[in-house]
Amino acid sequence: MTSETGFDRTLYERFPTTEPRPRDELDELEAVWCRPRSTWQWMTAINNNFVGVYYVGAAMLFFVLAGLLALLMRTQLALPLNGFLPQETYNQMFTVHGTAMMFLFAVPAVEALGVLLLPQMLGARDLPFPRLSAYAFWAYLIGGLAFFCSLLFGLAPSGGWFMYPPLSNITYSPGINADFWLLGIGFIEISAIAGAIEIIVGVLRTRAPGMTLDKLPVFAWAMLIFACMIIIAFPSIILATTLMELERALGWPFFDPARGGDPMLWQHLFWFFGHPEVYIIFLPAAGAMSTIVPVVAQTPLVGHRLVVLAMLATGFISFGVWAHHMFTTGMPTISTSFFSAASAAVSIPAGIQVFSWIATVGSGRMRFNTPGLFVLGSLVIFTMGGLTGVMAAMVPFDWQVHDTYFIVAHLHYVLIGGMVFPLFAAIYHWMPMVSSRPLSDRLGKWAFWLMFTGMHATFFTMHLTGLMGMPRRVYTYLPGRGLDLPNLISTIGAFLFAAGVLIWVIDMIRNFRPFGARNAGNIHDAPGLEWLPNGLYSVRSIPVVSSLYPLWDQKGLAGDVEAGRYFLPRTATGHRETILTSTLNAEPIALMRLPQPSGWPLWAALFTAGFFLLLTVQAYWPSVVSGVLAIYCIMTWAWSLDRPLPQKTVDIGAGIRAPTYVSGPASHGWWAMVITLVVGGMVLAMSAFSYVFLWSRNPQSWAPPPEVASLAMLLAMNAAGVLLAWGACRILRRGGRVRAALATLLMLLAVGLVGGAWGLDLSAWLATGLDPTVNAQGATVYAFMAWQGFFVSVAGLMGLFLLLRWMAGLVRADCPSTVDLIALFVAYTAGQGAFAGLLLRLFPGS
Amino acid sequence: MRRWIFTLGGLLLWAVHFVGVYAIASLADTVSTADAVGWRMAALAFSGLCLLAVLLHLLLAVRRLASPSASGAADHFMSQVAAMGSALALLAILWQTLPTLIGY
Ligand code: HEM
Ligand SMILES: [Cu+2]
Repeated sequence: MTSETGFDRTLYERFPTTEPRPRDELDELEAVWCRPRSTWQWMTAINNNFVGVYYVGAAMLFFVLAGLLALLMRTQLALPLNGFLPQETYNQMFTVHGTAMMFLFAVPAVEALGVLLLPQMLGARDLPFPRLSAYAFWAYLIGGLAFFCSLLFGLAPSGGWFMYPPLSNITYSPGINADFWLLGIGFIEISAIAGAIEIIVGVLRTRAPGMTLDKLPVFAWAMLIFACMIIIAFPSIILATTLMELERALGWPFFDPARGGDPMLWQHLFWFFGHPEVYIIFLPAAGAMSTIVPVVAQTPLVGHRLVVLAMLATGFISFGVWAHHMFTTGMPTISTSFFSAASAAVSIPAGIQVFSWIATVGSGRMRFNTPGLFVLGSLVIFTMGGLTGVMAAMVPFDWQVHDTYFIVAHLHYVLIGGMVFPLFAAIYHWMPMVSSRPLSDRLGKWAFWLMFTGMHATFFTMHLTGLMGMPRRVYTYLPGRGLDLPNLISTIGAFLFAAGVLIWVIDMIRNFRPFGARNAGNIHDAPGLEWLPNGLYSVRSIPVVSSLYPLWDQKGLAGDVEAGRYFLPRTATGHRETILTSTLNAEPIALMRLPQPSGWPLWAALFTAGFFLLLTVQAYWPSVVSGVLAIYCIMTWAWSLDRPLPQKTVDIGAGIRAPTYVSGPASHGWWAMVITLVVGGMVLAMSAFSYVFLWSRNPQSWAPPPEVASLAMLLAMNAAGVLLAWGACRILRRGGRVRAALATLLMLLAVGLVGGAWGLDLSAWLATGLDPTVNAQGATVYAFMAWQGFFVSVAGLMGLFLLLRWMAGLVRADCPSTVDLIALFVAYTAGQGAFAGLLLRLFPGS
Repeated sequence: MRRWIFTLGGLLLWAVHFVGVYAIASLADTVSTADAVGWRMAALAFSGLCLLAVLLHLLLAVRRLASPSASGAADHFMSQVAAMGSALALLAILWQTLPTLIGY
């Protein structure tokens, strides 16, 4: 077997070690990973054992809140012509219910599950960027609560969770309600992306040694694909909300057909995000199912490889079906047929997973405990939702049921079967790992049966209400049309469901005891590493993994790990740390130092939230102040990064030595930067799509671009910027104080060149007299300029940061990462500027 | 990176195919009509090309699986995923070519 990194894998044979461990080792480990004491320390904890629990807790809070709204809506709909809720309130409620369930519950809940479980599951001490998880969590909590509170002031959006224009434009939604949606959701997406970066790098780079990809737990696969999908899909919604906000605030007509825009652009951008979103929610839940099913059946998952493939395939095809939400918009028949065919193809990977679960349940001895029941319930409900989904993928049928209660039934079947039930299975399953007491199996069964019956009563009936012609999103209906009884049944069902959730809440209050010194242990006899005995430092020592089901196949593993007979049985440097491993074969590369808790991520989240929220209520100056403070906090936070330790290499166990600092593609920071840039690149790609799309609607109204001479200059300056940035990295590595100064200077010059290129481009366009408010061409051209301007400003801030670090003597050959990452960013910005310059001038040409 | 591209090869080609046929139909819709014969033939040719490429990838992956030099469980795993991915992509592309022939 060839090695990926040059690591000699025979070294694994040194484990488990046999010599006795020093006695104070464990105390040191506990001291470094100590519990928070004061309230402030609890709030600034960054360890996944804490942040993960907070995160799941917040997501469940939003589930309950959005569920309460559902109850209010169902109460209104219980009787025809009911006067319980006024129309406008109902509209705000279904919008907030849908939005909160999708953006504040479903995505964060599964992301939270990942943050909570992944490190233990991968045998790492923590995720690679704990402060980023803390930032993502606080940003989400603050942003989410503020979004929810808008309902109390009657300021909540009311245009539905997909906010179609023209309903959501300034003419038909004049208040700031829609802005709450646009800025609030845009902001929460940033938090989701931060979490996704964390998860990708965590799964690929911090696995226990020996955990090659074929031994990667299926849940980790699911989270990896989930996070990649976020990186590809979410930029589209960020762009869409930004464009809509520009249209609302500045009158740039992206979606206004009177001035050459097109509301269909919103639908394309929204659903290019929105459909993958559904799978983004489903995949981790399916990963949890694939983990829990083998445990309840006490047998390996049937067709593990096929399941992994199915999840990958789901990830791919989910980007090819977005227009099935647009069958009634008058697209050409051949295009609808393509999307219809693609949508039907989705059922293959979904089917593979469902059959694998059924086969696993069939081949083992099924245990009907609470997680087992939720697993089975999920199978039933999700399959039914999948069937109505295939029905809706048939275009003529969809024409009939589009925007009726049939769709409401379908979407709740897939979401509840595909995400809520698996999540409850996961909560009941993994609780013993997080809490010192498991949840009650008796209460759990009550919760399950109530939720299961309530769910069918509510939503099965809705299929019929829909086929009888009741449109969705209406606050009331007329008596005597056969709609009275089914609606009443739906309402009763909703309350049954709520009763089930209430029992779960009671169970949580009675039995949930997190953050203790001990947990309830492996009561299910489950095979994953997360069931090793663990403390706040995660596992006592990081095992060498040689099986997909280590606790079933590697005898004595738990005892050896607990006795410190594997990697990193102590703190090697006196800091928090974990092992950085390679992507395919998880060979140890280096010791990764992890940060200590600090308040900066919390402050940064607070001020970022402040920036967006104050912008929403049009308090522009306070918003700017908040933004500046956020930047200050983030810079202070970054200041402590990239510090080499005095020990160049350390013993990571059994005499194996590893470096304490790496840079370039081997380092985790490099990965995070590249993934961030992929996000930027996706926004760019979607902008290019928008530009071409709007052009294709109105080619005749396109004005000629600036003369080509400005293009040559633009390209030359950007190319020079890339060259200088690259040069800076090279020179720094050769060492010496003069070279460090030179590298800093070169980088600043590079930033200046790229910024200058942007200024040149902007002035060339301004000189043509093109006006962003007059037509769609102007609007998109200046949107490109604004986007590039944003990158140039960030590059400028990075330049400033670098200058400060140089003055502090932190730009050195032994820590080149900061310069490397800034160079990556500057090079990307240059490329983006060049791309926009070329596209806007050469397409469609003069 | 090369290992990943090989593993995901079939699925990537599948994505190239569906994005491609959407783009061709939209382009046709701007220039003449979405289902104009010439454009449909172009789409058909494109689908054929994608099918060939997937077939090739499938063969490569199967050969790699069969060759005894395949090194280690992780490698074997990646090749298996590659082969199954191509097989799935083959089916899916065939299915998604049908609209060019009968669904317009
Ligand atoms: C038993 C629990 C639930 C009940 C009783 C319920 C009830 C409702 C009701 C009454 C509507 C409005 C229908 C209309 O007026 O058109 C709605 C819409 C919606 N629900 Fe739920 N819901 C529940 C759970 C969920 C969950 C768990 C999710 C997602 C994870 C979810 C996502 C949505 C979405 C996306 C909409 C569409 C909103 C829109 O039209 O803009 N719901 N739900
Ligand atoms: Cu969809």
